[in-house]
Amino acid sequence: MDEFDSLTDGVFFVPPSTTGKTTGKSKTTSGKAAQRDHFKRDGFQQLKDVNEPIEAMEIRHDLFNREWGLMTGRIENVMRNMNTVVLSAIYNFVHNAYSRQSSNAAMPFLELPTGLIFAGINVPDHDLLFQQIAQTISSSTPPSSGPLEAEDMELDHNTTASASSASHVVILQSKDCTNLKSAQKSMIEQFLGLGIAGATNPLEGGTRLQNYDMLVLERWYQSLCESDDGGGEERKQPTLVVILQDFESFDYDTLQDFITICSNYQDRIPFVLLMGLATSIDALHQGLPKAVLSRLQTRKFQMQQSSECLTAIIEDLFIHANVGLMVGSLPLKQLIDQFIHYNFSVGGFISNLKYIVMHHFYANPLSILCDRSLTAQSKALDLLTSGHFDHLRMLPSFQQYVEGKLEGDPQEAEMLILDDEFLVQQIPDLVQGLWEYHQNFGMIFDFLWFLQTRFSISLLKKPKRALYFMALEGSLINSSHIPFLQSLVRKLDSNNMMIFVEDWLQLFKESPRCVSKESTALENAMDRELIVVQSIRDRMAALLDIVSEDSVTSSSEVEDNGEEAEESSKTLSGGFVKKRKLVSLNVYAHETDGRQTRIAKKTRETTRIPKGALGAYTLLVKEIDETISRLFRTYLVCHTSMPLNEIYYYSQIAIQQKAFLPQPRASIQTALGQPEVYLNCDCCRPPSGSAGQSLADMVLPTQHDTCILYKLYVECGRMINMYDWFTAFGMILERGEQPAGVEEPLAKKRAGAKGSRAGSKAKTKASKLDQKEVQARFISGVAELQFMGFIKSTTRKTDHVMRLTWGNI
Amino acid sequence: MVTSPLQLLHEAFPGRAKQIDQILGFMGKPWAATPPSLLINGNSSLGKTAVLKATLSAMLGGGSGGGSNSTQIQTEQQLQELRRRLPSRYAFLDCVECHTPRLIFEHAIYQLRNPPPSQDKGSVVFPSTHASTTGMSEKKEAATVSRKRKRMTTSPLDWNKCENVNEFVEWCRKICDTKDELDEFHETHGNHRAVSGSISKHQNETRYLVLDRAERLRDTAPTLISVLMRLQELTGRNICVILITTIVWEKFRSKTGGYEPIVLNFPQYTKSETVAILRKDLPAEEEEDLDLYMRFVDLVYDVFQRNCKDLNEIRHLVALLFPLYIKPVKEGKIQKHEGLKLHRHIQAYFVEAMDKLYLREISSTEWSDRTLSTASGSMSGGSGSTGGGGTGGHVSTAPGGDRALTTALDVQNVFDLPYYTKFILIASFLASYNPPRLDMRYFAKVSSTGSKMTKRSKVAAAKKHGHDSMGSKLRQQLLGPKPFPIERMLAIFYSILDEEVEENVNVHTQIASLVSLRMLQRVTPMDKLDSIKCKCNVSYEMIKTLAKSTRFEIDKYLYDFS
Repeated sequence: MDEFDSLTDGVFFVPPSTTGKTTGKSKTTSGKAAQRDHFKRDGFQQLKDVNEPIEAMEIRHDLFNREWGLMTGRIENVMRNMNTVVLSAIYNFVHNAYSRQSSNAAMPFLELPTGLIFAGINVPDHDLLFQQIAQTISSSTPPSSGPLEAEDMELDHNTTASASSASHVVILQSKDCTNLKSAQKSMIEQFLGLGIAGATNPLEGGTRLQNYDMLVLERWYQSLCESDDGGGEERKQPTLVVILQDFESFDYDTLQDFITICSNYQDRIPFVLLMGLATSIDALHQGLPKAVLSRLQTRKFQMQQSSECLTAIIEDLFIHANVGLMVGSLPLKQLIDQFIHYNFSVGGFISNLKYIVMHHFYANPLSILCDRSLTAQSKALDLLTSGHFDHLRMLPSFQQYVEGKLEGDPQEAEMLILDDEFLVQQIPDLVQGLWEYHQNFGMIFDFLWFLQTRFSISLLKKPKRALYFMALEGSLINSSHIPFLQSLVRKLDSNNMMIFVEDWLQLFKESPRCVSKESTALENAMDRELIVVQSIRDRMAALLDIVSEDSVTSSSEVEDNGEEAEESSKTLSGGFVKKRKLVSLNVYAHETDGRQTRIAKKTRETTRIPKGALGAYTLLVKEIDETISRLFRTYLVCHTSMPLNEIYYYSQIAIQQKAFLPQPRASIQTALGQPEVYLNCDCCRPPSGSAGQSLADMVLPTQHDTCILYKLYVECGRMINMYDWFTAFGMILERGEQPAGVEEPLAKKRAGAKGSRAGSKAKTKASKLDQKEVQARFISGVAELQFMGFIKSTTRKTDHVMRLTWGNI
Repeated sequence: MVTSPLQLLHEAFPGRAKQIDQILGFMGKPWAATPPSLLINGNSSLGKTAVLKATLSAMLGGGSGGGSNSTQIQTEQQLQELRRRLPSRYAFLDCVECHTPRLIFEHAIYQLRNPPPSQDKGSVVFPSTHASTTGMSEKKEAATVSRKRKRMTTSPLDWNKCENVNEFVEWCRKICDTKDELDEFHETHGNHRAVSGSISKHQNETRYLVLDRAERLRDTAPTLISVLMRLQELTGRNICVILITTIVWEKFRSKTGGYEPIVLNFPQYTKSETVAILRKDLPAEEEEDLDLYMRFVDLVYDVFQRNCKDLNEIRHLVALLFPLYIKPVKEGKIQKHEGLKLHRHIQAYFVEAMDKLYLREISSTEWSDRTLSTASGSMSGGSGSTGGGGTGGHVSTAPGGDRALTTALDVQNVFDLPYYTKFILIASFLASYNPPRLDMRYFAKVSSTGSKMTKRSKVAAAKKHGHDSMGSKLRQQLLGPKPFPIERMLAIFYSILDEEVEENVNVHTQIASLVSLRMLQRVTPMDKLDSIKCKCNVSYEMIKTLAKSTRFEIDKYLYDFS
């Protein structure tokens, strides 16, 4: 038998020890040093196809680290900001749990303060969250940027605050709490392990208390309080906070008893429970009986929905282009789809993203240019080799760019293609252009969002990430979404239009793009836009000033013959007003902003644009409309039109899918049904006579034993007769001994039955096919199938095995 | 005025006078021999634990008492002083907390060797003011005691290891045999010689071992019950076991038989007793509203007693609803005597309370925060319509802004599932409630020829099962979810999805996470890896909202469901 036939041989991976690190950066070519470098650089290798120098690889590695560091930093920041409000609410709840009780309505019995934290469906993400909560609670100050009430609480808190008056927190997870004993043990051990000054460990020093005895905790707590009393001040006792992280996974009987015990000890130890619920409050009501429920004094805290977090992350990272590497439309779609469709897991999203970043910097030679601070002096530009240039010139966006140049400046186009030096000079400008594009894009995208939020019509509701995705795809500017928004803007009446323009101007002014004026020398596109908007506003204001003066003076008259005036204005402006009325009613109905409704009402009563100004006004509206349209068309163009965008946008998808959407069944089926896909062997060719059949349907004797067995197995029913299977297997092996498939199967059979010649696979045809060898190979194949879970032995029928996998169920 | 401890006890527990007398009769004098065991049973929240605790601590614990009779005062004070200082005469154990025999033994020994817990920190149910003098001793001489008083250490003794019954019996003997000043006190005063003549030398005060929630003993240590029943016999000392439980003694009996305890039943409170207890809950500062309060208590009792026999629940409701009841009075909107108006005002809250508060859908703090913050005007305005809203689905947000109390709650009750996970859940619901034989009819993606088949099979199915389509007793809806193999559910899943989804590992991880969220219940044991069967553990309402959110018409696919 072939020595490589067995799949069950152990293969070990022994990573080289990192103890013997060389001090200097030696560029020795010895194998060991190279290997060490390999691990130091996270497996980054020089790319051979562009002959890249080692420095380029180092740049890629550094860029990767920098970029990923930036991303994780920003993501953490976003996540923290999303939950600050809730965190500070939880903090206040815990810290006031026992001071508040006296002020509350006198209850007939003590209730255990319990916070229910609704943390969303994805449990694996919760670890981080609950650690954050625990940190927040055990710190002596409430989380920063909390609501106001937190702050005045902090004031009187700070005067007496010390580490001792803070709460002590432990986190219990269901895996530690399979029964009551282990739950108590886990809690007590964690509390004692906190290492708080002044507290003595009752388990030490000769006492023979058991480690799950609540008395241990009681004594520990007493010693904690006694050590506090030394301070002399009147301060509140520390509370003990127990976090039950994954409520749903707990054993409910254990939990009942646990809560009952905590509640019994409440008069001696101030407990606060925090329960993490992944589903809804129903879980609590289903899990605990009334007797236990009535001991709880619950309060609900809703953590931020994870889809909101995702949108916030996407906005922060990509829409506002705060990071260097962007994600193209296909990978982003895949990322979002996986999130929405499968798991709601922000953690999964992040690891997926990391994979993307890694892959980009690992395999793309041009990623050395993926640096926002790229200037003409950058080292990366000097390192470009001819291979790099080839890659650059092969980029579709570059070709597009050159083709665009052809008409205007054929000379330059030629230089771009032929002259490497010239190309190097051009690169920083192109990169700068891309960067500029991102900035403008972010701002105009904000403007789009501003427009959308202005009209709260359900038809319009599109989450930011969906809009951004459309923009990436390039379908945003041609979608019906923008014209619809524009039409709504057009239909605003004069006062609302004024407010709208004011807000618009405000938005532009406030955006960092226009505020930061360090680069005054550079003409900023957004500044120009700002001026445009400003002028529109001024003209609008002027126009409306006249109008309002008019209307103020004539308002009394208008009131008198309101009906008449309306009639006349209707006839004067024709269908325009009528239409506007209809739609504006529609808009008012959905208006949420109080200010706007108020003013809108006022408008209906008073201002009406007189005939003279109407023309100017319509022109202005038209201009606004055009400006909006122009803004979107110029700045929201798809990134694929920008030259060199491929360096900054990761757009592959296959490798992602392979890593994050594995299809175990498909790969097993391929591996067993079409082993040539994985083995890349050329022995498994379809016999010449059967061209019509696909390779997957045929059983070839050259294939691996297990594959042959699998293919026979697929044809079987629920029960497989071992002997039949064996004979079929033997027959196929024998067929392999004949000269490739020219004979009739029957003839083969006869020939095989007489004298079985052997040979392992297609290697040695001369040797005889021994019956014993066939049996051995059969057994080893069957064992493999059993190991992989395709069959199992059964007692139902002798000499049969049961088929386990897909098939006729 | 003389208030004996007995009177105080009676006062503290309205409607329990008979039971207190019975317990006291059972105990007799401190040194008197008692029956070996007593079982106190009765429903929850009938004051079993509270009464016994109070009685024991009044009689045996070092309650801080006021002197009652000037002639006895010295003796009693000394006795109390002793009781407070000396090892406790009773141990009070909770069987939920002491969930192993070892914990029971060790806690009992610990409590019996240490002074009783001081009252001021102790039970909330029985306020410290009711603890009183021991009242047992009628001795005149007292001067001798002070001489004998030794400075005993008050620091808690070491924890003692006790792993099995034998050791425990040994310990009990040891504890009972240790003579301390209290026994000497009795001896010197010679009063117990009159009771038990010659054996006085060995006769110490009775020790009580109280086991609360004794029904748990049956699980933790079934054999222990019969041991405890004969503890007196085994130790040969004056020790008495009292079990407190909600179930009847018959459920404790073991096959091998054993001693029967004396059973003392606590009956349900009558209305007048309940009202008398609630009367004590009125905070002192609102004493002037007593009339109003009593009227309110009456009302609450009448409204809720049909649904709620639990005294604590009624107390809970009264405590939370009373501030609302008197709010308009305090604000001057309604006069005190306008009972009908007040009634109408509180009615709306009653409905809410029945819905939410009693079921603990909102907790007491949330309730009081919300009710006291929301303007009472809006509530009284909507009083007529509040009943109509119903409890429309737990997942959905309640429609309408009328119910000021519910909106804030229901916003938090929404939870979302990933898109495919919703379908997995729907598919498992279908698999749980539809018979497998109809899967072809509902889910096979058949072409035009299928419609004929479908019709025929539908008819056949209807014929076969006759009139059981509605109202049959064997409807799956009434029987609950049926286990289904995962493969069947996946087949349904891929069939009801509109788009083509390639099978990948995420689907399986989602099934696993649904199991961990208890929305699917795994029927096959964890160690069996192949042919897993699950049940869908989700209500129809929730599935309906899920289906609605995914625009899936669930009703079209459900067989025999309404």
